[in-house]
Amino acid sequence: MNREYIVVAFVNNQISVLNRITSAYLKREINIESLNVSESFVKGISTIVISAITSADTIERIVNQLGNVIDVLQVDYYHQEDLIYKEMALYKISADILSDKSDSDYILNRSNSRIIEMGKEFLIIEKSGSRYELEKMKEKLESKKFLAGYSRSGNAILHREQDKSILLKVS
Amino acid sequence: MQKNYIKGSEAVLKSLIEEGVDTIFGYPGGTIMPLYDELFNYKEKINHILVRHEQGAVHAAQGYSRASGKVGVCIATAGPGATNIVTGIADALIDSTPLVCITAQVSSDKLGTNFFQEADTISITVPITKWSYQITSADEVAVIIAKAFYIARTGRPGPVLISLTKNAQIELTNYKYRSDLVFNIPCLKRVQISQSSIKEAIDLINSSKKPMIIVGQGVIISEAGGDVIELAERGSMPIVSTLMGLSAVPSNHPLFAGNVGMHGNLAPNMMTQRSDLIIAIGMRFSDRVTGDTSRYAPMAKIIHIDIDKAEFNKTIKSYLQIQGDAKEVVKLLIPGVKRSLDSEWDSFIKECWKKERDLIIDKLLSDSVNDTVSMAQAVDSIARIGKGSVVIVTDVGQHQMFCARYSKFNYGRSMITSGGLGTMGFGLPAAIGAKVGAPQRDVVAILGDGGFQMTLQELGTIMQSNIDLKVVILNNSFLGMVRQWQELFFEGRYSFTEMINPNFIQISNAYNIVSKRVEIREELDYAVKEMLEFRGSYLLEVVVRNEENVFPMVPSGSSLDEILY
Ligand SMILES: Cc1ncc(C[n+]2csc(CCOP(=O)(O)OP(=O)(O)O)c2C)c(N)n1
Repeated sequence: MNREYIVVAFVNNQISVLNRITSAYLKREINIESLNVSESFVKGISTIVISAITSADTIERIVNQLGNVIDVLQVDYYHQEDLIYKEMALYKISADILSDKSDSDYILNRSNSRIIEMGKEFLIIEKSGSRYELEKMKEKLESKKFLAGYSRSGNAILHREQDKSILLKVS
Repeated sequence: MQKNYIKGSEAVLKSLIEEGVDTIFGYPGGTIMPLYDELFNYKEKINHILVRHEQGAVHAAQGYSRASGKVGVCIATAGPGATNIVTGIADALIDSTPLVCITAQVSSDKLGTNFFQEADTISITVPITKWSYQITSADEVAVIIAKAFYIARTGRPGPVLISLTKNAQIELTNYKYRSDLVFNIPCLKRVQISQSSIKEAIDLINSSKKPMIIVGQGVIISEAGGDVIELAERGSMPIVSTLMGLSAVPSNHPLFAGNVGMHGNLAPNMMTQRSDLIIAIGMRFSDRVTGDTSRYAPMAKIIHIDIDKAEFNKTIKSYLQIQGDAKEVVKLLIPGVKRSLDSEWDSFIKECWKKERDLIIDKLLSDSVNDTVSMAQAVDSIARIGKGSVVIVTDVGQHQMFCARYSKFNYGRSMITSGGLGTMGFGLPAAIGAKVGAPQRDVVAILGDGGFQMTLQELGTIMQSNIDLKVVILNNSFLGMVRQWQELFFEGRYSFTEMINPNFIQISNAYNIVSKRVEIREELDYAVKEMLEFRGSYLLEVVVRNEENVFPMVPSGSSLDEILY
């Protein structure tokens, strides 16, 4: 059965590592739904978070292959429910939204977002949440023709359980 | 401290020498000219073999490595030089052959401008290398070359590609080779072999009724052949081999029971389906070995021993996995194993062998339909007259399977063939490399007429570098293996598999290589003897039956006991 798997890899911050990692997905014709690369808490080591929808056997093979990549220090896969798992999105919204009482109430008070810039014609709003939540708000704004721009980040993740952390085991 | 400024290109050569490299295979070109210019000064220290096509260089490096156990090295220029070695790199990855391939690249300030002969070699080779690195400054040379060799040969061996920009060849660097460098690479760390798994494996072996050992190339790489024999003898267990494991164990050892897989022997395939315990050592359960995976070895518990844990449960689920170097694991198993011969199992194996002899082998080796030659007879003749001591290098196709079935091996590293990728054109250049890597041994390349023509330009390398190589072309005027599949599975429609061939003897003459053509059975043994006794290169064309099939055969997707013969 196919489902979402989140792979977290700690890698040397080196040219071509990302290429090697994505090629393990490409080779098996697996589409990457979301990808985030950022510096980990150790200098020179990056964290890569990839989410993709595939089968248990395939993700096992992908992770095994990634484990053999010379510049990968540690790699594992998780289910969505194992992780606190958020993306951030920016929305560019027409200032017209403020003239409607219920819409402006939604955006200012009920959407769990925050205004980060306010212009004459547009507001820029930031919201974090699951991809689903972010997309839902986008659709809502779109359907009311307020949305003028939209951009979403990759995932930031932490393990949910107290005694488990996704940390590089320094050896 | 004394400074030692030299050019990057000289630093490359000095580093190669530090790594124990005595031979490199290569082909020059614009971007790699600074390295070749320096090579001129190093002629006495490094034997450079000029090939005729870069594909020849990489396959020769593979043959060199497979025959010698050392890391093979090839060099090529940027762009087309680099893309010409891609096939060999892919072949080396899937067949775990340690290579360091150095290709030139345009100067780092020109990268990404579509400069003359710029190709993005790193990106092209990412999925087919164990590691790759682009050197953009001469200062990186010493460390990166050391790291490249370490990675190529450590753990499961594989190919490494170094892209060397032109400026890095020319710039000066304060060269110092660091033999004390320690590379801390997580996936190459030595694993601690699990003692509890060893104990469990010993118990499984000692209580098994129908055990069998399957050896793969891992046994050759870790030089564990002798230990596997000791294990088999203590446990009275038969040993069978994959294509890549051939010659790990001498063919005439009483416990050696033949080859598994698509064109393997009856016994090993039938045994697999009946065995209650399979000890798989340094092999990866490729589809050519397993047939239909859902019906593979239905009765067996499988103990899978491999250095690469990514191979565990990849295609076949095993009962027990032991990660580690084959030799180390087998050595730990030996003392605990004690098991006597199961006469029922033993007679089953003997029966299968009798059946194969009666139905296939004896008929094929003795019959003389119109006095024409079977590929089996040609390979058998080389095995008999060469007394099982020659290195056989094959190309890909029917002749390859006949070589696997009818060759005899007394020593390790004696069967060099393209297994995982099945690369036609591999044979001739790989044989050149094998002869250079093992000069004390007689090397015979056995090729199909199709595959020979994919890299026949390397006869020029044989001529120029005086390689003492025996080349046998089994000429059936067909792309035989494809024709066989067309006959069996495509209702005999021979779509573009017939070959109009040139006169191979004239070709051989043009390269000053002594040659002979044999068409009838009676002349075969004499010609093989003449070839093997000849000092220097020799090309023997054996005209074989046009439409012979390799049997037995487990058709693709069938179970191992659904055998055609
Ligand atoms: C580079 C490459 N192209 C195509 C094939 C597909 N192929 C496999 S075997 C074969 C026929 C080989 O014919 P030949 O070299 O004459 O050997 P034979 O089978 O007759 O012994 C072909 C075309 C291949 N393995 N490699």
